[in-house]
Amino acid sequence: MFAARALELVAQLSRELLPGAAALALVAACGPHAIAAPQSTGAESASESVDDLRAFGEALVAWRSGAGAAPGALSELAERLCERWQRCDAPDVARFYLALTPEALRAGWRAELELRALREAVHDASVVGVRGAAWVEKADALRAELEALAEREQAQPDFTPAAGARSLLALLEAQALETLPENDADEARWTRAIEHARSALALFARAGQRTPQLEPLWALARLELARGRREVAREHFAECERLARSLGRDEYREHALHGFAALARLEGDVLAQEAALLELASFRSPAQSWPMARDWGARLLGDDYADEATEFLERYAPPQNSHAVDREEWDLLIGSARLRSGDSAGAREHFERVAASAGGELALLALASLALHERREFEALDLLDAPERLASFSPLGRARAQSLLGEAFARTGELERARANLEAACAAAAAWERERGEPFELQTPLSRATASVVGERLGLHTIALLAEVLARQGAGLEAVRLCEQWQSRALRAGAELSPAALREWAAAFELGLVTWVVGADFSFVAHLAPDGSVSHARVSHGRRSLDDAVRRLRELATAPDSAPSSGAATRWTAQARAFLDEIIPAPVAEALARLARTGGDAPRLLLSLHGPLEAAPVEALPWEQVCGARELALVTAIGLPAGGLGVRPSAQALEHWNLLGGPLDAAGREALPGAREELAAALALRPGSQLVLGAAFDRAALLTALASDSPLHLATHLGLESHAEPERSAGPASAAASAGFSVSGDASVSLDEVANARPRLPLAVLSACWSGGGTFVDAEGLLGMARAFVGGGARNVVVTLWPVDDAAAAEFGAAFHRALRQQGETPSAARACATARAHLRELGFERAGWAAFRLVGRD
Amino acid sequence: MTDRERRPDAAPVGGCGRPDLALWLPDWDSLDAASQRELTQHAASCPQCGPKWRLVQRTDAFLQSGLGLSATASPVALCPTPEELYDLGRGPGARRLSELERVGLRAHVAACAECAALVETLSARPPSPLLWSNADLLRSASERARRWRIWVPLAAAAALLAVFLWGGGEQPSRARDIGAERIRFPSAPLVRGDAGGALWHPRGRLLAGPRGLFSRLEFELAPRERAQRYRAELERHDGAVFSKGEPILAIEGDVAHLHAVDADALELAPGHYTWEGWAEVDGLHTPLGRRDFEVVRDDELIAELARRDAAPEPARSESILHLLHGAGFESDARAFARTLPPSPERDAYLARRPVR
Repeated sequence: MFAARALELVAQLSRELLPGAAALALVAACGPHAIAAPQSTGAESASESVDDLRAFGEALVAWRSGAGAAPGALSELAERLCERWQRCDAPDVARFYLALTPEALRAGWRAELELRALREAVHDASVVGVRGAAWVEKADALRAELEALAEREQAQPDFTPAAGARSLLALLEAQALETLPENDADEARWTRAIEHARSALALFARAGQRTPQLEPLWALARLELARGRREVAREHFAECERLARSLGRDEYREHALHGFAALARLEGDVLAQEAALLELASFRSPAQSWPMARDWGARLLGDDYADEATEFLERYAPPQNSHAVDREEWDLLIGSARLRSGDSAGAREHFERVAASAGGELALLALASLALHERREFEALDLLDAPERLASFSPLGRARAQSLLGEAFARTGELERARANLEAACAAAAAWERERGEPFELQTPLSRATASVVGERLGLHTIALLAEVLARQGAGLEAVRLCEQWQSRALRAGAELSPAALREWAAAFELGLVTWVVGADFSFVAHLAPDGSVSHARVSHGRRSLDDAVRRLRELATAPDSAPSSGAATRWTAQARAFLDEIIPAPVAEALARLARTGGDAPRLLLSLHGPLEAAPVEALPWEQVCGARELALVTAIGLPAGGLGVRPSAQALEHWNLLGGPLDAAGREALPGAREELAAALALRPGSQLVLGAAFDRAALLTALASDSPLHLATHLGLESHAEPERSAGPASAAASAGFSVSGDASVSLDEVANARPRLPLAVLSACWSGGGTFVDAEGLLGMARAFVGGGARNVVVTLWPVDDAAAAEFGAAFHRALRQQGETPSAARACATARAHLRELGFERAGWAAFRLVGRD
Repeated sequence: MTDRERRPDAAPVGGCGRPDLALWLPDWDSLDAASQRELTQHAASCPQCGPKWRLVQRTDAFLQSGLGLSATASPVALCPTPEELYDLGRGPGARRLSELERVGLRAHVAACAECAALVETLSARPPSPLLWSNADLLRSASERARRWRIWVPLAAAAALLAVFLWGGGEQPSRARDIGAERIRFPSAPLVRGDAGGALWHPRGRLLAGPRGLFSRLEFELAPRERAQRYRAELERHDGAVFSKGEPILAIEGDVAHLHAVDADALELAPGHYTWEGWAEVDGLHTPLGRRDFEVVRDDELIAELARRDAAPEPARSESILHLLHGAGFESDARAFARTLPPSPERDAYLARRPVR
């Protein structure tokens, strides 16, 4: 149901609004001890180091408090820490306090005790759950006392209590500024808060103290994040993580990693968020860290594993004595998971508990979502359709409310109001994208360029809703434009798609253009005919359902069908037709059939595949049964790239190829015998081409070919390789694996290198394993080689949908070149591709062989 | 890399004082002059290697004479290449032939005893030049027939040599003599890449007979680093592309190879199933994917398997394995292979991962 998707977003909203939920509870526990024991222990040596650190800490307290400790003993313990455990900040700490006079020590210790009392007050208030006006009043009083302490002690010989006070002030300010409505904080307050943190850092550094720098570093990162300066925040989180790691302070490593996860979430970078959580999980269990359990539960829910999310969240529920905000977050999340599982009664119980305790926009949004789920649209409208109420919402909450309102109005038939609300939600997403402050280009490394604000923060459900509303209002072209405009945005570097440009795309293909938007619960499909007319329909399957169907279809397509008794061929025929009927419903099929009757021989159809459909084996589907065209030439787009349609290259421009492949393995053996045959056949047809084979096929040769203007035929392995550990400043290592073309010398050319080369080729044949695959990112698509080529400027790319047999690849390559040569002065790569597929089929290759090859681009 | 790693298919070296040299006997023609001299000296005093070395010399002489055959006079000019025969035999790394190629080759092999013998005996893909110039490639088509004429006798000799070195040249029938480690395992097609996912088996078709599943139901997943637990959830559905399954089983374990505790009691009726894999990594529940399989009742195949079960080993095991594999029951073939005695060949077969 639509509402369930909205509730997932509500759960996400709760995370974004409350980034520092547990922050204050931590304050007392993480007081700025001059030097602290590492928390990650276990091994015998770790235990010994803890003992040494503890002994040093006790001696230091004894020295500072005047309880009596020999200066020599303190120095000796400090030196021992440096020698045995590489904690060479200890001698600096000892020197600082040993140099103080007894009076200075006594004064400093008094101030330290005062600071400790203030920390405990902050901690108590956060655990009890003081909030609203009561908290504002309490926080103001605490801030005033801390500022006074800092001012008073900063000029004293023992200035470390002043440093601690400024550190705590920065943290309090970070917590306050994070929750303030947008633009409510004046610049002076930001500046003062950041200055507190920097001052604390400088003072601790002057005193030779490293451990206490963790708190102001963390506060600084949070302040910069709340201010929207994400790159600066990222650097501070990275610095905090590095320092915490070196000191063995896992709680600050945890904070830093949560910072990375928050950054990734704001940028819609799912993989980076997952990487941060996986790294965190390597030393913290979800039972120890509610923020981690919360984020992972939300992740499962976002991927539509509602039952699993429910089970996981039940298992790792925050304890009853935890912070009130943690329990509210849990209620919102598990309520959303239950709703997605169809348990609306269970969801209601959780949502009403939040409404009773916290209230506010989260509760309203949750209840409105529940009302929509239960088909009570007017109740949802009652909850949200009040401009003064929405005005008090956060920007994200407002956008979510507008999306819910749009859905409710669409269901009640008020299309104009539905459109207005949905367009407002889209406008908010556009603003978030601008806030990201990053250029909308194919980012590098491509394998980490997983940001999709539309997919992760707005949701394609909203786009599907709006497209349907537009189509119902008769604005079909605008509906098509919306589908394309909001998906694969990186391909166009964020540029607008005009209606005229869309008409040009459709007019270039005899059967026009078909596009989809796959939402959480349903999808929308539209066909734009060459004459500009539009037909459209709702597809009753959402992302999860289509994803599973595509997986099933791919398994059927690649199953061996040579044994007649297997029944695989019969089953394929039935299921492929069933799938096609769902994704091309009657109105679109009828429009295609009409065009096919007058489309001439081998009419071409442009399919702009989005979401799970990008991986569907559409080339193997029985299109002739749907539209009547026996020799249909499909062109697949993975979104409409920048630069428009352009001019199809002439036969002459496709005469001189770079033919590369046939790598040798580490032992100098030929890895793919078929590659040699394939390239030999291509060379025989294109005698003026440049052939690079065997040992000569190395990294330099491939990178040179990528930089040239000549068409490229590449016959090699496409393997997976692990990412090299990125710079720490870039955050934790991505969990993503990157694809790379194998070249001789046991080397490869990675996805990022291909993207960086920006291959502006007229045509590329990537005769390798699953060169059309990649990492899926909602609203962007499969980030892989096809996108690296098309996004870089290549006009057309022939890719494979799965690992292909060496023999099939060799046969296809030869057949494709033959067919291309027979195409005349302006050859159609799409028709050549279709002819080559048909040739393989005639030769007796199984479906896994012939259906694997796809043309992506503009034809 | 050791010599044994380079040449795992080479002759056994038991009883030989210089096994490092013996390994290179089958590659005599690729050795440099110094190595050939060293091997010759060793063979003169080694009772194991001496007879083999003499065979190598005879083969070499035969090849030299064969190269001088007239192109037009040779009756083997119409025979397929040794590479094609090897591919037909589906040895390790064999190219997957198209149906047309397969039909044509089978027809030829049925009528040509020499080629039929080659299909059975070629134990490795014939060597091929690694570096080709453009001119070489352009010439390759026109020279193909000539290459056939050269390669067929070469392959015949190589096959003769391989049989001798492999079986010791003492047994009249390989089938009667070979041990479990000599079972030929089904070969894998040469595929460009690997994207088989994390759910390895079951996949495709599972065989069932009157008494239920032929093999115990086992779920094999790709091991995940730092995973403490794995889970497989099984659903039954009607096989339609959009059908939603009904959960029927969930099993957990701490290794990536799961089976139901009461597997004997578990009955899967013929039909369609989907299974979903999960790993718990550092406490985080991580989805591993979904995969379909179909339980197929085939009483004829079960009967044939029972018939073959009565054959002496190792023919029994080899024929059962190939029958299951050839009929598309790869998960059953794999389960059966697991029951065979360990050997490098068996382990290599079991270590093979699905590629798509």
